[in-house]
Amino acid sequence: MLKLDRKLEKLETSVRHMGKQVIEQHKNCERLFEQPDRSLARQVRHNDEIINNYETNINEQAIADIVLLRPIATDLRRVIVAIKIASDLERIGDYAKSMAKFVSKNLDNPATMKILKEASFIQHRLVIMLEDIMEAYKTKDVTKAYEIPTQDKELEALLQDFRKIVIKNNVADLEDAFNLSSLYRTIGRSSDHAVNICEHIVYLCKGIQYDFDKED
Amino acid sequence: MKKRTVLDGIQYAFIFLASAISILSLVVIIVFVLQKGLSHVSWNFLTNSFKPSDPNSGILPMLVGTLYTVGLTLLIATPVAIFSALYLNEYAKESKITEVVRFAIDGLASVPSIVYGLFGFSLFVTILQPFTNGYSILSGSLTLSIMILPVLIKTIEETLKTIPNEMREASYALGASKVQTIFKVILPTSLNGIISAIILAIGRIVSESAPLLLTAGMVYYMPQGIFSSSRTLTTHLYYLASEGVSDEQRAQAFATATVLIMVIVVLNLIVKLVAKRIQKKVG
Amino acid sequence: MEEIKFDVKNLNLFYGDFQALKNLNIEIKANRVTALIGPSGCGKSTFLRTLNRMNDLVDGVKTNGEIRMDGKNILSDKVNTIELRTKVGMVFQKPNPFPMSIYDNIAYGPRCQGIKDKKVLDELVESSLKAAALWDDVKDRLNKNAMGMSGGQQQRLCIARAIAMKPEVILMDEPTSALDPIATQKIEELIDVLKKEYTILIVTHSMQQASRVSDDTAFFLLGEIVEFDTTLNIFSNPKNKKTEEYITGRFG
Repeated sequence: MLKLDRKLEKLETSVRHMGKQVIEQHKNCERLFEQPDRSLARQVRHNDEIINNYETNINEQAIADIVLLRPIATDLRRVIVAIKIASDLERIGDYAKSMAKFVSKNLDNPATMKILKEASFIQHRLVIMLEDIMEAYKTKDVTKAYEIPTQDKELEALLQDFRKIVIKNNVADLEDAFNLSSLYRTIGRSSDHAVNICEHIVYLCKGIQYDFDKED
Repeated sequence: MKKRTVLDGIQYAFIFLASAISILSLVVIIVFVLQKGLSHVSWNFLTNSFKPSDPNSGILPMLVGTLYTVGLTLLIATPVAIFSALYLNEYAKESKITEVVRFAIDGLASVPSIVYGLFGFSLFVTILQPFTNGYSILSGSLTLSIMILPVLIKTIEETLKTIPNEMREASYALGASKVQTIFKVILPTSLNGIISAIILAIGRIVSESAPLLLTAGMVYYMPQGIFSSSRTLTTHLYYLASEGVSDEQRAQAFATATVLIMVIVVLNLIVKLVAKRIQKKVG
Repeated sequence: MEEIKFDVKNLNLFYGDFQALKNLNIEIKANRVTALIGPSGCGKSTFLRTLNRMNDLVDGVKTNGEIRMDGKNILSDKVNTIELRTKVGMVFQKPNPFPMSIYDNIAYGPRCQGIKDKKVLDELVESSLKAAALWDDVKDRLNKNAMGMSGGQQQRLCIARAIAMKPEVILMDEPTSALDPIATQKIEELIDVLKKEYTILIVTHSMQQASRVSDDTAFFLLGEIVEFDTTLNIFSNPKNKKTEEYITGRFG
């Protein structure tokens, strides 16, 4: 096995580890939605630092690989895609952190927590989507990368419905409703970044810049 | 375009003509000699001794004398030439002295052979008579050695020059000494060149008559060793051609020339075979 | 703390009146690959050749200063250059196998050291060829002349030949400049393996090669070392403007 291959494999492994960490964060958020827990919320907020370190580390590795290995063609895409995925994963991780923050803030707000609990299945969908993506990255499965964005569309629809319910039912006061809808937005944004990762995987496998937003 | 084609054609014609002339003259000479001499070459001719009065006598003593002279000359000259060339090319730094040495070698190479003969006569035959027994194969070989040294040295040095310096560096970089480098790399690598130098030298030794007339004598008896005076095929040929008036003697001269040509061919083959042997052993 | 193989202090080298190396100071670390880069005539090859005293073979070369190899000054007159060269092997720009068999090429160095035992030589030949990743290619034709090999194989043979001396250091003077990309790749991979056991210095004109194979890089210019740092630092964030201009192909 070439040194180049070994190093690139190592780089992608780092990205996969980072992905695992991010998924773990969102799983914990799902748990928090189901069952509010102050210490778990604190832990999620705290763990974001680990994810940030992952990104820094991956960037450094990628720079060293570009400088020392002079990758070209697929090898170069592997490095670039690692940087891009790490950047999106970092954002997705940030959203987990803000979810955890939201939970911490609203632990004493039973009405909000109730709605949150009802929304946890949407967060579950996000977690599954993220797992699918990291699997597609691992196996370089371009077909899967093309399919996953439909999950984003469904998720978006679910969020839309939910936002309407929250406003219609007037379950909370205005401020709570506003906060909740911004929380839903973080789920939506996470999903958007997940779609970006799919685009990166397509670029990795086929070398073409693909934009899922322009699909229709 | 057309002009160039024509010019090309003319040039080609000249080249072809020149090569044809040289090849043709070689063929003509050999055919001429063989045609006149081959019929007279027989087993008896090769194995009988020579009697001036007997038209059916042979040339065995001259054959042996020639081989003696070639062998001894090479034995003396080759090592001296190799070491001189090695000194000039591997040891001596480029300086005024090496320039003078090279100039001397070039000068010596163009001195007419009869001058060598005169020199050999006064030094080896006269002054060193107690050691060389006067007219002898030894005196002749020593004289011929001095005569062929310049050519041998020059040819061998040319060969040494063609050995890329990287070869020497490779050897030194592996912790080899200078002597090891010379004997294990440089000499084996230049073997082919040394062999061609020797073949060239054989040609000159065999074909030389003037210096031998003055140093080895004209005795036509079987040589008893290197201290005997002896006649080589060439000096014999010279004798036959200058003294011979009868058709018989002329036939003998051509037969001798035929044998001479064959001797050169056979010696060349032997040297090449030996070289192949050595090369296989070395690498 | 990494072991230092060569500690060069105030090294100057003159070809007659021309000063080819100017007051060099550099520490070469053991078991690492150090690349020497710089434009032609900058002194990198000359410096390489001071490390096994190959410059001694050139007329009119004078050096002063110190090169301490494991603490001992190898520029001293007392140093036995033959012994030094058995410890510091060298691979040249053009593959230069001797016109003899593959076996004899490898056995050449050990034989010069007086090793005659056939068994010892057999083992040395095998292990050296294996270390140079050449054994499988040539094991059935060890007695064939080395000149019949491809250029890349010849260069690996030259590396094997150097390895057979069991050196501590291998100097490589543009070892792939005469080779095609595939052969180059093989040599580069080989260097990566060899550095575990040997300290390697490599002169190269290829920035790609320097960055791929080396751990440290020294940039030479007009006989001086302009910058010496880890290869990553040199190629990602050089401190000297000249270094940056050279490695990015803006001059030189």
